[in-house]
Amino acid sequence: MHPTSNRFETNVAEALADEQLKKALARTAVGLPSARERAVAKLPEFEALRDDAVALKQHVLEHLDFYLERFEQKVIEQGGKVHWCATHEEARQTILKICRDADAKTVTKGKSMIGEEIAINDYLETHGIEPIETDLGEYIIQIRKEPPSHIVGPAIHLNKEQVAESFRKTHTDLPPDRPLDDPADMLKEARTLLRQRFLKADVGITGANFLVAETGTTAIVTNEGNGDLTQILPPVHIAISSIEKVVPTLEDADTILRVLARSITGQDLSVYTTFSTGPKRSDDPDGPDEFHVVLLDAGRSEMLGNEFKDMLRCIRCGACLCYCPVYTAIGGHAYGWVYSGPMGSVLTPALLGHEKAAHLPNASTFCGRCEDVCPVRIPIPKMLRHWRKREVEQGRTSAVSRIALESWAFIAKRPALYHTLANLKYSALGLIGRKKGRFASAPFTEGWTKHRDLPAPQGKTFQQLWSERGGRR
Amino acid sequence: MSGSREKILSTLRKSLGRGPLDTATVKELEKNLRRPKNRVVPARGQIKGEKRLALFSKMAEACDCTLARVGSLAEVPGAAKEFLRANNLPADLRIAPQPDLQALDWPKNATFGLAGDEHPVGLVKAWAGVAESGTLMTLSGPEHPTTLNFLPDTFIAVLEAKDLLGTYEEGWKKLRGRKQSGAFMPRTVNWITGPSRSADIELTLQLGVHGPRRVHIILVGEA
Repeated sequence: MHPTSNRFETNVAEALADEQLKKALARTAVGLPSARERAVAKLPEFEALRDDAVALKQHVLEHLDFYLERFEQKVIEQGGKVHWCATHEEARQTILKICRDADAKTVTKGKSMIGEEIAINDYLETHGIEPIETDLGEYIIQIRKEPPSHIVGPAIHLNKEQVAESFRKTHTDLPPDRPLDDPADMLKEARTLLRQRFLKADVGITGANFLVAETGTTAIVTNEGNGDLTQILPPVHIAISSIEKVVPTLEDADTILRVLARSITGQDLSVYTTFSTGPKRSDDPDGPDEFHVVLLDAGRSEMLGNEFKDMLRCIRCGACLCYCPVYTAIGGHAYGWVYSGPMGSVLTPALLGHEKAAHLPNASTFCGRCEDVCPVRIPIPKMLRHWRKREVEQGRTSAVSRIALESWAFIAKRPALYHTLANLKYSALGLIGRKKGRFASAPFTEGWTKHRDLPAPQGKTFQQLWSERGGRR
Repeated sequence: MSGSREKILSTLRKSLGRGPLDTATVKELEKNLRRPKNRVVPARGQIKGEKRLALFSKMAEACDCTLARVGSLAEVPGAAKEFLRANNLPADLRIAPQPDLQALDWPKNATFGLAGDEHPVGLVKAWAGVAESGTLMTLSGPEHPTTLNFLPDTFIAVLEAKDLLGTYEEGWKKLRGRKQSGAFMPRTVNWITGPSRSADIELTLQLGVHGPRRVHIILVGEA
């Protein structure tokens, strides 16, 4: 897809005006965090597992060359192929070539964020090969020609009426008056249609939640079973992954698995965890004849050496999105590319270039919930600050915000002046707003008051209370 | 392509501020791959006997599996028939060609082999079960076609109590013991934790998206 991250402000205005979206986001902001909290409460070792996951990821990143080469060697030993791709374009061409060599007409796809990142569907389609997304959420957004709005729930921004409408528009061979009121009706329809596509596909493309260096294994985690039908039915299986997904051993995968699903859907484990090693063996009755792994870099090897290195620990659970007050107000599409929410605000500028997504790191209140819930404890707010610092250093900020910040800094560095001005301001606001308790508008606060009231100061300031209680400065 | 391989490796080494790893470090990392890990393993699964069996059953039921318990393998065909009848399901069984299963007395219409779209019920013997999360572990191979796990609407798994493990780590240990050489991995290791599901439409949980709608586990023998 063509990124629209650089028109973030317009995207946000549109998202905030979308009543359907507001309903869908309200569901997300409550449903998923409460599922996570229930799962975490049931596992006393959860925090210790997070620490282990951090240590594991750090170790892998420090020795990434070793583990990637080890992984490659094992894939080859098992009869598979590894394709190293430095750029999105190289990954697209590589996948197209594998499909053409297999004389492919249709390709089924399991859910893959790398697939979204390289926009493989559009590319295959342009070159005469039909890609079919098989994860229910991905299928819905594919027929609507939309990017995913959440890593784990790509169609989380939609309501069932919108899905029904898209089904009617796309599945034109079916009776137009069939009932589609219940999600169960839509599920049945999608299952029946996609089953035929699974059986006829020439190539299956899946992502990889991790790669195991010890055995040359790629692993996927799904709830639907679509990733499995994608890889066992067609004669060719392509697993696409970015380079930071490798772990040393099968036991290391256990550690990641124990924090992955719990962090987002609240499951102890997703329904299907599948470890694939090489093509089918000579005496296997089913499975693919060819096994390809496409390893994508696209900027990650450089991130390893800069202040965004910790972002490479990310296991794509999507928890930070559901807990983010910004994401849950604007949804995923406003971020303008495939990754959204706090992790997207760090990753998108790193992968696309700062100039194409400079607004995203500003879309944060720095409340820190993203870091609190991240299973691998990525210091997301710290990295958003790094981006903001770069923005200032490179003179990308607007004149208004620059002058405002400089004035604020001037005052903040002079405590006496700061307190005088602050007291003056709060007394005035308190006096005017005491009766109503809030302002519908006030000078310099349009950005805030356009969507909500500004609360009036109530009583004394913190500094005043502190002094009264004999607190020391 | 090999150009990209070298480019990626050299960029990431540059980012790490070093050249290729020295032989001693590589040897150490190699060795560590084979050393047991000193990692947190939840206490929940580290139990034995009837307690382990009870935990497995509880976890499997929590993720929408149904369970039955029989004394011996010989009772499995009867238990399968009973389950299908009670749920008003077709009685056409497609069974994994595993010797333990082939030795049993099945109804005449039961067949052995891989699954296609035309098979409503698949029946397999799980290679192991993991109590920690109520997970079934199966291995692909001539005796266990992977399609049986995914294509039929109803999936029946036979699990012998002696194959029940506590944690995932025990599963890998058992698998490593299967063959002497490094090639202990089959094409596919499947962990199955309940029937297929999705909450992609309005976060409404629904069972049976692409894989089986029902998972029935027949537990065999004493813990």
